[in-house]
Amino acid sequence: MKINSVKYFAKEATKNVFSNGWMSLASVFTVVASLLVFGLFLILTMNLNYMVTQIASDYEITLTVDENQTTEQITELENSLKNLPNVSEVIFESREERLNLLRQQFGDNASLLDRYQNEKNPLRHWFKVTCEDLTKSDQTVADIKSLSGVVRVISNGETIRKLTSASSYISQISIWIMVALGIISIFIISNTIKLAVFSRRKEINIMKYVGATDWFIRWPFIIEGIIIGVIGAVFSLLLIVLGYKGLTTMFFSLNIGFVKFILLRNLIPWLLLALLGMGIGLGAIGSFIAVRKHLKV
Amino acid sequence: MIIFSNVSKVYDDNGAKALNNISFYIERGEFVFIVGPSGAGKSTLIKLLMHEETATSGDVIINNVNVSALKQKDIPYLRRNMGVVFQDFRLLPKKTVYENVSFAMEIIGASRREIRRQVPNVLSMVGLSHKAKSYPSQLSGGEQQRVALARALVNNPAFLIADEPTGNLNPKTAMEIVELLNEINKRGTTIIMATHAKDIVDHMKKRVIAIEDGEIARDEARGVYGYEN
Repeated sequence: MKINSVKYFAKEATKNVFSNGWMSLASVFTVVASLLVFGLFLILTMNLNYMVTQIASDYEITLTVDENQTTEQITELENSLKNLPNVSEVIFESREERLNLLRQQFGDNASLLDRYQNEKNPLRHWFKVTCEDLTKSDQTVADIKSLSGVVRVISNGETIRKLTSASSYISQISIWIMVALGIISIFIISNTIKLAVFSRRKEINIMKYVGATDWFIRWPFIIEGIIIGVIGAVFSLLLIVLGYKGLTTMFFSLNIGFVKFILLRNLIPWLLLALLGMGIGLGAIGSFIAVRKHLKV
Repeated sequence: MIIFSNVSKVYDDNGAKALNNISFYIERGEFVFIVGPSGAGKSTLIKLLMHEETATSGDVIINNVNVSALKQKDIPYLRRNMGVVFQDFRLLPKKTVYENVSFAMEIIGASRREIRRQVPNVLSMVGLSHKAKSYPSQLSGGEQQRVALARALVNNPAFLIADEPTGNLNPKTAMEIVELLNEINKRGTTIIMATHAKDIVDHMKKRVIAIEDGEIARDEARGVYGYEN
């Protein structure tokens, strides 16, 4: 591509964005609207995955120890637990420690627990085991149950598995919705740009007679589409960031412990990338389709 | 230079035979009038030259290239060898005279320096140097056609195709435009002009190809219009 032509394309494209002011504004609105919905689904999917990872990382298997076990037997049990496959961490909490924890949780009412001191402590020692691979947690639970001195094994693996599969299901649906949304947006944008192209069909016609190549005619329109796409992406990014900030602040003030959102500053690079990419893509493809019909001279 | 060899054109949509097995040859530097009644096939012939349509059968050879088999992407380069002028001028209303002409050079990727050198040249050739900053709406019909001519010539095409270039002009202005075409022809540009203007054809005494019912009725070296207006 000749440098003279590149200058010409840039000049023409920027001129056209402003000279077709209302049309450009309409296109920008279309881009903003579709990118907003796109961004919402993106955030939803990302947050859902994030929450599931958070919950999954909290997953642990708790096993209570028979009170008749000696200290040696307990140490032996700890070693066997550590040697099990798929076990990444083993934490021991003695019955005394657990009682103290309980005390802390009771706060001002801790005195209620006074009568459970020392020999009267009804709690048992327990181990908390973390898995390396959640999907193999069933096997680990079975392995633990087979060890001697274990009274009870508590695991919420089933819940987490359900959550994981639900979230991946929702992610897939979101992706399809985003794809459908993209196609619809391209259609709308190309129709808007088609109006701009139509108002300049005479010019295109003359260009063809003077010997302009198809790409020479296309480029200014495609750059015009990209400019519209970028402006739309910036606006939708601003709206989404503001909305997200408001929403997360609201949730924080509601103090719902288990709902954890991705921090805004971690989200912005992804949003910027996705929205700009979508905006540029939508604008360029939309323009390409819009000009196509008028090139057949 | 330009060869039509047994060319026929049938339009798909109505099956009408617009041209029926015509052959002729145009030498470099010639001035040729294409005449004939309305609907006889003049427009089709012009469209084949500009490659707006392709022949159904036969060969159209322009500058040693058989354009009947030309690829879509090569058409622009064919068109850069020819200037085109229409009855309705087809100028861009939002561009000045200068811009309407320089536009044709920008399209083929000419440098700013080349444009600044060539556009004033060609504007002075058509006698419009003083109107460079005017817009088409501020010009008379004759002046607008001169701008169109300047645009057609600015890239130094080997030949100029004029489709009824005087159709919208009064007789005096029309004659001026044809005199200008004659000047351009004397500088070596081949001119092919489809027209209904009897007085012009009779006055110029150039080669005349008459088309009737899709066939060549006459081809005379120093011909006349031959129809009643």
